[in-house]
Amino acid sequence: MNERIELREDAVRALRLLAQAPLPEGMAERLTAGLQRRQRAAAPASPRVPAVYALAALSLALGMAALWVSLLGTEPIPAAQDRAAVQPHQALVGSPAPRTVAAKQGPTGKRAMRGVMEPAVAERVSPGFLNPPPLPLSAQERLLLQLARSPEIARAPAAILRTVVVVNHGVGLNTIFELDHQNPSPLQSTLQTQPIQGDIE
Amino acid sequence: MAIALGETGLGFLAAEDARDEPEMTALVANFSGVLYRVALSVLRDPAEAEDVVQETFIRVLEGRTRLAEVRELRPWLARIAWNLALDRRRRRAPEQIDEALAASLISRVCPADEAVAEARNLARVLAAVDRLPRAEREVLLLSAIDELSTAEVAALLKRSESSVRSLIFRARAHLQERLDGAQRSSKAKNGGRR
Repeated sequence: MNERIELREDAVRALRLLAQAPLPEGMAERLTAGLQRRQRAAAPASPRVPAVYALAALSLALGMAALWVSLLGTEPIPAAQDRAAVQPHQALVGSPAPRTVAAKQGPTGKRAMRGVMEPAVAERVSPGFLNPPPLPLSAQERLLLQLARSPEIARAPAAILRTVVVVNHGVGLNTIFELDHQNPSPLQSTLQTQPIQGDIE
Repeated sequence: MAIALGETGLGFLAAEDARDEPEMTALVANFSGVLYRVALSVLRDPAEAEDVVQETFIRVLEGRTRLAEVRELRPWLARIAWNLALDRRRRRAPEQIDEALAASLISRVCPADEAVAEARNLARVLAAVDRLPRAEREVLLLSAIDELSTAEVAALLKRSESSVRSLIFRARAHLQERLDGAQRSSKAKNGGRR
């Protein structure tokens, strides 16, 4: 201490005790460990880490490719004509195309579970079960099916043409129209105006 | 004595990827003592002072890209610890000198039969120091720390060396007066009781 005035002995002793206080036990180790942890957390990633990730990604891609190739090799892809043979109602509801099984595939094991029936079983099954008739379609479904098959927009069949009667109350700008929604046609409507008789009350 | 960063062997701190364990250990070994005592002189609480030291090192590592501009490392570090300690002290409710601290400091140097009286003396002196004007108190506490020279105390407090010497002189004189006055009033009280 720089002293021109001599402090009392007790004051000097007290100040020295505070100024020379020993470090708490284990403080240096705690500080070092804490700083190292923080440094590791804040440090940029090691260049080896991306290499590991790249290797893992490459392995995964190769594995996926091998799996895909094996699937393509064992199961035939439905041909275009098979897709065309899909029943109309299946096309409407979006059901998947039936799978065709190659003739060389045997009737046992997993192949059998995919649609090939044992001959003994096939004998006991009715023909209707193997080739079910198409489900009856509603008028709208038939129309949608016709639309889907036609390259041009089809005209609505006469059977579903409806005439909607609109009543014109004839009061100028505030004309009120009443639309009959009982039998709306999805394709075509004909509006007929009819002057109202008498006062509007 | 001014110590530049490169002269301390801690130039690694300025590098972006500084995380070597031996160098970190060197950083702690070189500066934790002085930083702890600076913080303790303000806070009088060992646990809080240790937290301040940790926070000081963390700030240094986070802002290590600016370390190359630091000319005098120790007063710069001490100033960070000093400011952090003052911030903590402001947040704490005002309280008397921690008697546990006084007892722990005394117990290392005194036999048990003298420890109580010494602890009481330490608490009395530190209470008198606390009543000094702020500038005098700061200079007195920092100049008592052996690791800090007058020049470093001046750099820490952003004062000139002559100003620091003058403040030390006045602080000692005021402290002497207060302790003498306290002793006289104590004797007068004891005499009155008799």
